[in-house]
Amino acid sequence: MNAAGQAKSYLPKAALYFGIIGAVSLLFFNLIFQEDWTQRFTWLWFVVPLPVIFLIIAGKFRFIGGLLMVLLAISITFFDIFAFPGNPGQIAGRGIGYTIAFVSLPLLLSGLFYIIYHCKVIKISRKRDK
Amino acid sequence: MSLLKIKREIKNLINYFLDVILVLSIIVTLASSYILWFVIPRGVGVHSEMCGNEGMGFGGNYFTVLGIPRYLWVDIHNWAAVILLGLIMLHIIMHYTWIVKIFKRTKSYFNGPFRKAGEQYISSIVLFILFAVDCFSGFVLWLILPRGALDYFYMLQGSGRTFWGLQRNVWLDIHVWVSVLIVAIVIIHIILNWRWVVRVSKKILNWFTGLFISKSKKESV
Repeated sequence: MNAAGQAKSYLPKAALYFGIIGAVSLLFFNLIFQEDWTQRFTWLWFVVPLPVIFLIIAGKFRFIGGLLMVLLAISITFFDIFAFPGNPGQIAGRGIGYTIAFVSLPLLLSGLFYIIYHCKVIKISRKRDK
Repeated sequence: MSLLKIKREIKNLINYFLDVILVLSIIVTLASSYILWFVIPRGVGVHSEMCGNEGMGFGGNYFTVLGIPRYLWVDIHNWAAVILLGLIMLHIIMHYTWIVKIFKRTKSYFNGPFRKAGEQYISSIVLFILFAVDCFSGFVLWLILPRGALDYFYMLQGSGRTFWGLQRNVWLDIHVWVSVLIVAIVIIHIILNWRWVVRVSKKILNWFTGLFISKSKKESV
């Protein structure tokens, strides 16, 4: 394999690593919302394994997995804008800026890398066919 | 076995046990930070009639975890982090030759057949930078901007004490999110070094089982 080909194969690995970062951050994002006194956000526990499932899907179907990751990143951003955990004290790490920087961005990058890699593979295979 | 090989094996063993202690201190730091962040966060205390200040600040925080109150958990967290800092410095010193060697041949590691070494290098550098940021923010929270009475209300108004233009709550947010990133990168770091971990663990396991087998043989004789 030449150098250009190897550089391309960095994408799925980078996507996987960003996905792991996003998955860990999402776990802590969920824990922040569990500080809500009325316990309105217990359902968020079901969201925690989603990035892992999406990464497994992306291992087989890169485009679908990547798309799901992007959707998850966007939906988390909107969720953070509209939902607010109730707690009389200070909740450390709470804020839309932190959510975008540490949760949404890694998931988004992971998804985009998978989609870009998928598109590149399609392009290369089309060129070979021609 | 040649002398060089024996030396390498001994270095491997020292590295392995240092890493085990490193992981243990990471677990203590993480567990205490989890307790401080989510189990007994600031503001969780005895509320309403029993605490006039609604559990915020000096009036609250009466809850304990494993019989230890919050302020002691803060101390445990701080000192575990100091031990962790020392162990990481030791870890870097032990791997100094590897760091220098790989730095000189960075280009070949990214293009050639040794790409994994390049990935390990990047993960180590990122981990080191994040850890430095986390340590610094931790020291700011601990020594420069320690929690004071009624600090919370000044902080809400935006007129709290600052360091480098940032209030204590912002330093705390940076501290916790950088630590989350550290957890994620440590997972990646372990994945990248997984083969080495398994290989050395197997060797140590074999060594231990060998000890017991020879004992039982001696008894039978």
